[in-house]
Amino acid sequence: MVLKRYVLLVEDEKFQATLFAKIIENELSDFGYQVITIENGRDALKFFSGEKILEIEQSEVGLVLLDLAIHDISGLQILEKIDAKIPVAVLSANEDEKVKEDALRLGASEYFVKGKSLEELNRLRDFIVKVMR
Amino acid sequence: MQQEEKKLAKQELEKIYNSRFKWLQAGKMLRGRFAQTLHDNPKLNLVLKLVVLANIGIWSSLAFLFLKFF
Repeated sequence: MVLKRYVLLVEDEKFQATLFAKIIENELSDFGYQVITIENGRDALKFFSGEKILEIEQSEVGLVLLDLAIHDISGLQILEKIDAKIPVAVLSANEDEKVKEDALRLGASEYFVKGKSLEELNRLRDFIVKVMR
Repeated sequence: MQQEEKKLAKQELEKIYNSRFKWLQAGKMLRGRFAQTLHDNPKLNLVLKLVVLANIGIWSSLAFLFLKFF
């Protein structure tokens, strides 16, 4: 059995990528997980299509955090490529119910609105801990 | 000790998170209120559209005048 030791963050905005990575690392520091960031949609699509662009395999990923608004490709396209066995938390600034429904229909486990409130951030933290524990 | 550090880091990260997204939220809130106001007052909606149109007319006339004389 492959150990799922990684959280994969797909976020193209550098500051937000660092911020979310720190938040996840802080939350999971007791469990020894590592956060890996992919900073553009094309690379994310390649990785989930099975191309070797990272040191890790898709089977080692325990959780994906996916930003929907990536500049070079639609987050929904990436979502379609992710292995259905991997839990995916979608991050988006968009509060539109239609977008949320689309994301959940395409396999997202949860949908989180970025920057909405601290309660929303806590919900994300709880989800991460629940999935990775 | 480690838990204390974790708690402090969590608070700091929350501060950064809040400051990073507060403008985004403020913008969303203002846009939402504006859209709601326009929805509730169709006359205001029309007046604003006319104001925009009038402005385009005024400024383009001035631009044409300017181009004609220089």
